[in-house]
Amino acid sequence: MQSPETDYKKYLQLLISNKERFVVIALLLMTLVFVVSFVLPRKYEATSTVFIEKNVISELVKGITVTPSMEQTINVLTYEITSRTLLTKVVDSLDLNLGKSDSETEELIKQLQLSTKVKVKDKNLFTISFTHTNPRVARDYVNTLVRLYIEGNISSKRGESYDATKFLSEQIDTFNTKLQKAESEVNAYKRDKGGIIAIDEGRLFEEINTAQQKLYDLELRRRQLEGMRQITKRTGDPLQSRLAALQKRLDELLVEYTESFPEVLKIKGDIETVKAQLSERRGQQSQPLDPGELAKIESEIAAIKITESGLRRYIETNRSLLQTIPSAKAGLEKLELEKKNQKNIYDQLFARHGQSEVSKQMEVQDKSTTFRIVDPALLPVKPSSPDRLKLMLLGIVGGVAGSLALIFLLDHLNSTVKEVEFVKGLGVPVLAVVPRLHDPAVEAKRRKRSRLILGCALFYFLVLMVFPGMELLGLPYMDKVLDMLSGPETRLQLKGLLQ
Amino acid sequence: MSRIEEAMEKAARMRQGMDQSPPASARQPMESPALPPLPPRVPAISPQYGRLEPQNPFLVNLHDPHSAAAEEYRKLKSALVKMTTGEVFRNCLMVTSSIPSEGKSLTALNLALSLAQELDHTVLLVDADLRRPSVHRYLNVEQGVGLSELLTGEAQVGETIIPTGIGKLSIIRAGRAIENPAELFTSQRGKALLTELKLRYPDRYIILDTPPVLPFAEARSLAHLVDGVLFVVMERLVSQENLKDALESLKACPILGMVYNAATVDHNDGRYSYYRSAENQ
Repeated sequence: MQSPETDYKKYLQLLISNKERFVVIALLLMTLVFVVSFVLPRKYEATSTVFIEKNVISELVKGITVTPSMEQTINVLTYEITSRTLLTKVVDSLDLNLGKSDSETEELIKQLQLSTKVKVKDKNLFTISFTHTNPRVARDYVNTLVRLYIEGNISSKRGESYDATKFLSEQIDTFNTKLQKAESEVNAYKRDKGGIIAIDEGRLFEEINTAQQKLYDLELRRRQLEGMRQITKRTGDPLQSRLAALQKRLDELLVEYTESFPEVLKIKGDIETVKAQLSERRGQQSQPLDPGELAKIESEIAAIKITESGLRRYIETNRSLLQTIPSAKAGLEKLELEKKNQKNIYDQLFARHGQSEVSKQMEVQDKSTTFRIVDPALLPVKPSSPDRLKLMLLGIVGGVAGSLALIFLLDHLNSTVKEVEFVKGLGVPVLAVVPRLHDPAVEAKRRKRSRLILGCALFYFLVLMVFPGMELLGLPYMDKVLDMLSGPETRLQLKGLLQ
Repeated sequence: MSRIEEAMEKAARMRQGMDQSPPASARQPMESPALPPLPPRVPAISPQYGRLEPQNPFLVNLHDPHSAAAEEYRKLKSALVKMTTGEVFRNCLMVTSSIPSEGKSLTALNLALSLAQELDHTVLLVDADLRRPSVHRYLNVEQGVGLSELLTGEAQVGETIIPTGIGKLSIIRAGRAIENPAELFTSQRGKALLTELKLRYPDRYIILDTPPVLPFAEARSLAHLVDGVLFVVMERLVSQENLKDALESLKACPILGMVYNAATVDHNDGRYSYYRSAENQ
């Protein structure tokens, strides 16, 4: 059982007793990191900032024009800029692929894709950065890439606008023809069925009804006349009329009196008499009293019959006409709907055509959204990678930490007896714990040696600190030395790249 | 060294109160019928070398008796004395370790010095590490007739014992280098020699400084002959496995205890600040 305090003391003790080793290992690790930071290939980063500018006009004419969507462009910006087609163009225009086979060019493009970084800020600003061992190449690459991208984008937008206008006008032509055709069809139909279509169905129905009524009236009149003709034939006989009168009187009396009432008997006698007279007279021909009258009635009946048949024909025709009206009207409606649809589309197309015309003009005059290079890539002076200062600081920290870790690890791996506790646990009593004895002479020598080592280490550390210091102040001496050391090689590489 | 000087030495020692009083309660020697008559006691100062004046700074019980290390050796001594003085006086001890350079000789020497500084005991330190003898170096004596001569029968015990003049400490050096120390130790002569040394003086501690256990066989055979084994472990030198192996090989032997050597001392630890202040007084 050990408390954390004894643990900490143990480690401190370990560190103190191993301080020389600790310092030396730490310095070695630091030196290693420093050397690596200098030996790592220097890379330069060129950055260009592009502003996506929205012109005032585009806000003004919002709704009137149809501008290509900028959001979409931004969404796919990264992919578009690092697209193979664009990079191929850049490689061609910078002649980076000179003397390279296809597969090598392919490899080169892949590398370019990897080391090109696109960052979009606030939806209307983006930066394109690129790292390369040669600052000149980095700068030229970024500038070319941006130029080609913007050119391509603008021309494609223009092309879109032109295409849109062209397409719309083509469509307008087509629909114009269609519309005209539909109109002529409607006209022809109207011409054909104009009479029927113009008739008001209600009125026609009313007319038929009136005619029907008239027909009934005429039939009634005719029947009456026919009846009158019969009656006229009979009214000329006085016996008949007397008989009728007597009969009537008898009926009246019978209501009030019995059969034996004298009056009834008298009238019955009279009726008998009149009947006898009538049967007497039947032997001789009764003559018509007024032939002129009869003839008049006859002619009237004939006239009424003719009128009746006329009316019937009229009703018949009108009825058939009434049946044909709906189908004719439906046909017309259909044609007119067709016409209307064509007209609608035509109108819309026409309106859009107007908008696209404005858009086209905007694109032509560069009045819509444009890319503006805010900050073109400049020749990078300082390498962006490796970040030596950071690396060195990391090296210092890492050296100390690594050295500590190594010492503790070594101690951990050391399986010798390190504590009296272990011996106590073996079952044999520990009779004495003798502290480590020191020979003063040896001790003095050791101290001297230790001081020498630590002094040297301190001096060495100060010398090491010169390098981060130079980096901090931006003094390029080390770069010059390194360039001198690897001069011819670098020059060859540059030649290969810039030829 | 002249006689006058010797006398002065003796006087100085008496002033230190080392030799002043005779043993207060002299232990009754274990009388053995086979025991030869007691030879005369070796004089306190060797006629050949006089009083030895070791310079080695690691002999803390001689040079720096107030140091923490000396105190630890004293603790060791008292623990051992307690363990060995029962009904039977188990006076023959050996000091060994798993591997070389764990501080056997220094432990043996410091222990011997501490014992010798006590009034009750005389101490005989035998350098049984015939492969790499070092006791004579620490004590600043030149190598000469010693244990190997005794084992081969070329010398008598009396000839080899050198009184150091430091308390009642005498030593037997390793002697000349020989080929087969392990065989000599296990031989009858070796065993008889050990018995003789052990029984020669009843109140004397015999401390054997032996080779390490793991590489050589001597220590293992000797461990069976002695009354107690003291095992030295040095911090950060012997691996845990080796230590376990070494202890395993001495399982059947009377291991009295261990000495943990060269411990890392936390100077902020209160235990030692006491010593420090005592030292500074």
